[in-house]
Amino acid sequence: MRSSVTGRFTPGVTGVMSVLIADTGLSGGATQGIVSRMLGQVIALVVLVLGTAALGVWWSARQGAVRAPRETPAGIDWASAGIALAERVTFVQFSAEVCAACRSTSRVLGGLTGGAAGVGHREVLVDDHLDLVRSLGVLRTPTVLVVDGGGREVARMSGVVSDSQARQALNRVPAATGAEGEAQR
Amino acid sequence: MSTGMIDPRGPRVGASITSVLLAVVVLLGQSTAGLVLLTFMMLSFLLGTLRGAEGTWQGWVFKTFVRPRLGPPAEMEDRRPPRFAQGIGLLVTAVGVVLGAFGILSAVPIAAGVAFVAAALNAVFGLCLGCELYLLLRRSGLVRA
Repeated sequence: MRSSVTGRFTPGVTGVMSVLIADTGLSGGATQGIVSRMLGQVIALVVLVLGTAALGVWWSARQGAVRAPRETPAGIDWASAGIALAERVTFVQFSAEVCAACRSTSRVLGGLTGGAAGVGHREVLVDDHLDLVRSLGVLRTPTVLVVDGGGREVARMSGVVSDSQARQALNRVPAATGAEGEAQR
Repeated sequence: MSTGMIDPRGPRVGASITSVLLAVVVLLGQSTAGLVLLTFMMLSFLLGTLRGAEGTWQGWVFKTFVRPRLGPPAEMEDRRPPRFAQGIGLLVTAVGVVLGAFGILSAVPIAAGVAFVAAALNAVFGLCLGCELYLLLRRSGLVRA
């Protein structure tokens, strides 16, 4: 490219031009080197910020979201684990002592179950129930399992649970209990 | 570990300051300046690991300049998860500093980037790494109650 351009000029001009080009090429190259290196870092930071934002939005959207139940191993003996199930539906909440999200979730679920007959809330510490945690596939605190009267998991939520999310989970419980959940609104 | 409750906004303000500084390390790239700033961040995390997030200079900034302008917190938070997060930050930045000191300067912005993700998620979204990892660590038996 450069040779085709310089080739059209007279030798004197070509000499000056080539010196100029070489000169700007050199200093421009050095400047360009710094700029492009900084540019690389700026791009790296932009990618990092966007990636972090995407991760954060994804994580936030998952908080308390009502999900389908996992394949609960048959015959979980809730009573022998010290978890007395309520008649129709029980929020079984797995918490850790230090977990702030567990406390707010506990408040929400406690408030919800207070007024509804047959709806219970049992909070257990993961440290006391590591076997149960493993067999139920609980990975983080708080995790709330929505368990029907027969001991079957019908939904689960993890992360901070809001009041509307808890009501939504109640509506997953079939038949009479679902209607009950609606009637509470 | 000693227990106690702290204002949960403290660690988040601290994480904001920390993530800005870690972003600067990323911008400084593979340079001595980046290594120096990352070393400073590592020492901040060391302070937080030893004394808790409230015992760092970022915690001091919060207590001195931010908290007086805020109302009382809606609720308090256990100080152990933020302190655990400081330990994670210490681990990550220490890897970058040690590799950087041995001439592998590319490790400096990478370590800063990893720490940035955790700090920014904490600052902006309130994600608490210690809380997310606690049960996994307990399940794997790495951490005892």
